[in-house]
Amino acid sequence: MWSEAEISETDAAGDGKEMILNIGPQHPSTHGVLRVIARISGENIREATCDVGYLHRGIEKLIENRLYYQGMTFTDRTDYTAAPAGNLGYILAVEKLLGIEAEIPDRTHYLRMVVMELARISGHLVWIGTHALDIGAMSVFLYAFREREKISALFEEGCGARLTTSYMRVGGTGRHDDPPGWLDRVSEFTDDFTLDDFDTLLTDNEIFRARTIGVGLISAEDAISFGLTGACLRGSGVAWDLRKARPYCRYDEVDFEIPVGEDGDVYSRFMVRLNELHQAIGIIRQSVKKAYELRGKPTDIENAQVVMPQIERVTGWEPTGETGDMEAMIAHFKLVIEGYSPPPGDAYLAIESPKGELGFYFVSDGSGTPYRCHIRAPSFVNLSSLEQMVKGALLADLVACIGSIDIVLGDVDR
Amino acid sequence: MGAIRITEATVTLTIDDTEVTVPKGTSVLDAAKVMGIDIPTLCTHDILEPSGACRMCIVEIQPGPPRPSASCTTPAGDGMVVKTNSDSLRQARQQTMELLLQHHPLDCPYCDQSGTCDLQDTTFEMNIWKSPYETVSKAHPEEILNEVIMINHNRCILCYACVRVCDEQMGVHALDVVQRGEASFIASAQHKFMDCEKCGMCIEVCPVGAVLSRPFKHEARAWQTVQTETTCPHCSVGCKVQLESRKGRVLRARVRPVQEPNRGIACGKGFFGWEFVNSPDRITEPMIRRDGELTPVSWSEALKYTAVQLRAIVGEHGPASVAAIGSGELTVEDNYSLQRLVRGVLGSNNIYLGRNGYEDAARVVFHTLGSQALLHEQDDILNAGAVLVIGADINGTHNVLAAHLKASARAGKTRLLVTTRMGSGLDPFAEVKAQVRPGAEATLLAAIAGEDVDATATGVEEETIARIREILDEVDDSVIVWDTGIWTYGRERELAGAAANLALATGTTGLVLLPEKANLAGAVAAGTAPDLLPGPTRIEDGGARSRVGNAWGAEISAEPGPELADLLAGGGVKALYVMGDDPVGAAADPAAMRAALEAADLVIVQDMFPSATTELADVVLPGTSVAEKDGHFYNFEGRGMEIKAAAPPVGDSRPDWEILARLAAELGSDYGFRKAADLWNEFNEIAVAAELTGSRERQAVASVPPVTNGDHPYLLATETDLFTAGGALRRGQTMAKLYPAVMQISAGDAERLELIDGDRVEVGSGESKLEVPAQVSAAVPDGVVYLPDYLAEAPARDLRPGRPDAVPVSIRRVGGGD
Repeated sequence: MWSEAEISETDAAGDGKEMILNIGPQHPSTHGVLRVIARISGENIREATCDVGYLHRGIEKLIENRLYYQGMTFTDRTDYTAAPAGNLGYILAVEKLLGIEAEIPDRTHYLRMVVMELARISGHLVWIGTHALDIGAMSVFLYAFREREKISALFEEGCGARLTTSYMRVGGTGRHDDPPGWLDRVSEFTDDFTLDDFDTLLTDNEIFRARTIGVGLISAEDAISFGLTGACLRGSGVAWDLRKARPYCRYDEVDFEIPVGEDGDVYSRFMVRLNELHQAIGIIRQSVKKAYELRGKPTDIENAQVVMPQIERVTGWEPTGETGDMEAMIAHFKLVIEGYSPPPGDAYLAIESPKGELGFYFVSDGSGTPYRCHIRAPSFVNLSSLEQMVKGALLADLVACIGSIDIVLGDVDR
Repeated sequence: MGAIRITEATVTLTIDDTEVTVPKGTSVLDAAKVMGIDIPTLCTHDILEPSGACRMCIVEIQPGPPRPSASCTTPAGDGMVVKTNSDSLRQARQQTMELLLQHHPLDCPYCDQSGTCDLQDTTFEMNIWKSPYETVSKAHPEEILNEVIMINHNRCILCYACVRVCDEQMGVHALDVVQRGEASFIASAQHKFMDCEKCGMCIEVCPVGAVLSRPFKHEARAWQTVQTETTCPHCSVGCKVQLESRKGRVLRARVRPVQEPNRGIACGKGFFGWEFVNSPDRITEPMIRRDGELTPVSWSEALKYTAVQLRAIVGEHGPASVAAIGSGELTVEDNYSLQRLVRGVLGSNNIYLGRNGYEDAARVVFHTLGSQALLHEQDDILNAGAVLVIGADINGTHNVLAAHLKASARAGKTRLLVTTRMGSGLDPFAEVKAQVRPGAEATLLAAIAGEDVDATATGVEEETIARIREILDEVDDSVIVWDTGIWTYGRERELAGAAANLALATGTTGLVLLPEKANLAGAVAAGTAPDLLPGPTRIEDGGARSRVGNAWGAEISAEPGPELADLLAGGGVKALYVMGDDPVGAAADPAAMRAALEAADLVIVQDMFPSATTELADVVLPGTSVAEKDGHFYNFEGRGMEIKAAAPPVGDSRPDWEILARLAAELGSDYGFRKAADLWNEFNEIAVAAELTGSRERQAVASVPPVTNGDHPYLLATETDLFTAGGALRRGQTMAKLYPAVMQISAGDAERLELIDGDRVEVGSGESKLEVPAQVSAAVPDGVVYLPDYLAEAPARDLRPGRPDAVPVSIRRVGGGD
């Protein structure tokens, strides 16, 4: 990257051949507060680099200074277009750290998968809307957000929040299992959901194809060496999906395919994501079916040292005449005040989030707060390929490339 | 681990497949603890004997009965095979826990113990998911036992820790178990208002939130407070306590961990006596007297003004016109800083210690029996063949040492001879108990020593005196213990002389002077005396003078300062620096002291609270309390006790040593000290305590017991009480409640005077009189009335300032109670 002095110097030269252009951090096409510094000559980008950190909140350190269950709320604010994905990665890593991952009931896993795939659809809808908008297609955004609204409503019904969901709980689902009729409404959503609008508006759209095909090329080799994951990697022809490669939850029990692109350009990545929406709907249908079958089965493990007891057991519940339970009261008190304490050690667990490999690494010193928490954020790693994608491209391609990487600055900067 | 008794014999047993060898007498529980095996317990405590009440520590022992045994009460035996964690044991423990929790109220959200509760911790560790029983609330009301202690029976798990600590450690036995089986509960042993010593130890050892501190109730949650280990400033035992503060306010004290000298216990002063720190009466800003009014000023202005005035006075009248008074309530560092200012910067040796009964008595002991006889390890006292306690009730003045003495006497390690004036908590443990008439203590000592004195004035029978002498002769080592509080004022030398004579006559190994203030021994060691350098060592010692002078870069005068009274009477004092003391209030002759202060050009007072002396001050500087500064005390053993700041200084107050160091810098002589540890290090580098073999000569003691007359038929006894120590302590509301200002009188005298509790009486000494409510007390003998010192509402010192104790007084009823 260039120093500020160099940037102004090049500007001042004014020889008419090259100039430095700052795109962002306040620019609608950068999807947040990303600053791209481009050395351009006319419309051609000679070189471009990213300046990140405008949205840095120190989330890893914030997590290290809070109890495990409190830290989960920060994962809502990394990739906030699909908050449950961050939640899931976090709690799965903590469950691995606690050594209780094998005890989690099937029903819980399927419910988590329903929510996770809804989150994937929600995240991809934001992507498709904004990506198309950046390229000049206004209507797609409206259709995408109309659909996304339905998912937000489902989240709200399930956990009370639409955006910052904090959906998942370590050791089970907590209160956030399936409210009566919720699975039906999820089925309604999957039945109604269609990609036709997007297909007809974009897939064969002359202008869209012209703007995306052959743009932002990245070879399979480069993609791997950049550490790209998610659609960015699959768009270059590498069939790598953590749900297949390192299955978590019950992804090994459901049928789905890994959509793979061929050309490694913006259009390939677009097609991969579009197909992923299809696959997500399939996974949701299968998971809902399983969840139906397992109805009535417990969702929480019976471990008083980890799972917060339900409040009726703590205080008693007048309508049923249930009296409070001292064991539950103590467990509740200890969990709220001191939290659970994983044994000393470390754990890394990654999930396939809408953006790619979202990993959480924890080191425990045996206390109620993590000694170290690291988040492997897919947006951050994927963004590193932008420099290569736009080298020698036109300035307008930069916008298409940023959109195709699908970054969320909350995830890049954390 | 009170349960481990080290003996030479050992036993070898196997615990959880591992062999271990432990001293004979070790319990199975402690043997497992040595191996790092954690057995859950609820009723054990480091300072308590095991009782096997909770049944959580059960283990399977082979060979043995075919059922689990409590590991805390089972001594380890040779060849035992112990299982601590089998399935059936875990199940049995879980059932015990479930039965305990069945009745437990759902109080965690507002219980004071939450977060430090053993019941919570154990339940959580055992990971019990659900109670198999329906919760049954006992619904006993919370019961207030006394001013500071309350009990919530519902939360009680009947571990008896409170009952045991009160009996085993404090020797009070104010609590007991009432009823049997499921119906049993903890109650006051007297079946009434719990009139105990209010030491708070029952609160301290309670594993749950059953026995509660009333002053602390709902003040803070355990995890919100900051813990600081420090030393209690209320007497010279120097108990280690842990202060808990929140947002800069000291909220309570706890007694942990178990360490010397208090060994896990404390008294009411140490447990409840910290409210003075947050008192609204504190002096919070520097003040200079302008037009007769004390006016707040900035620190820089106050110090500059003081420095300019001091320099002018020294320039005009010479260094000898400056004098300073240090304090036994402040740290070694504070006193060291003061005497360095006076000696090293101002060039005067006029450095004195505020009025106390320790300094003169210590000098007598030092010169007659030598330096060896003065300071004793606590264990030397507790294990002495016999301990003779004279004068004031040390159960009130130095309660924790008294509690250890009780335990020691009960264990047969020592023979306790108690000759106090009032009934004492030591009495039940004493082999010989005699009540001496106030003022006749020296006479009693002389009588025991076999001197030709009239023992009838002592009120102690000839046979008792002979018995005491007999025991003192029987044992190889004995010590004589007394508090040097207000009751000795005016006759310190006479008492110390009589005790020294008795020691010479009987072969007593030590005279244990218990200083009435926390750091009197340390203040003397810091050199707060006109003829002593830090160490302490004689100022005439040229080597010491040059050592100290070199460290300070100053010339130290070899001329000791004169007696303070002589100096003040001569009018030679133009500038007086008073630190942490009230010389006017405590003076033997307040009028003369007042006149001397008024005559001085500059009076600087550095203190926490306003006093009679600050009224006469030209400059008032706010010092901090011990809870807000770092430093050290020397306790009665001469042990350096560390003090750590638990809260930031109140208002603009600063640590006393720092004020003095800044003033020295203002006077052009920067010490270079930035923290209290710098002073402590320098003090330890230059301080060498002088050693001396005593003269071992009999002291001429002329002791005349006070005589009552028709006009003044009662003798007033004035002591430091269990709840009075220093002016600061009484600023706390709890302390004022624990000992309201009352005069105690015997039942017989009360009947004669037709008094009942609460009646107001006028106490007159001829010189002065005061009005105070009366209270009938069994501890007071006939013909004697008792009024503790340091009661602001009824200052006993005023009745006769020079020698406040053993004053013949008249008692007159002036009105009924409120």
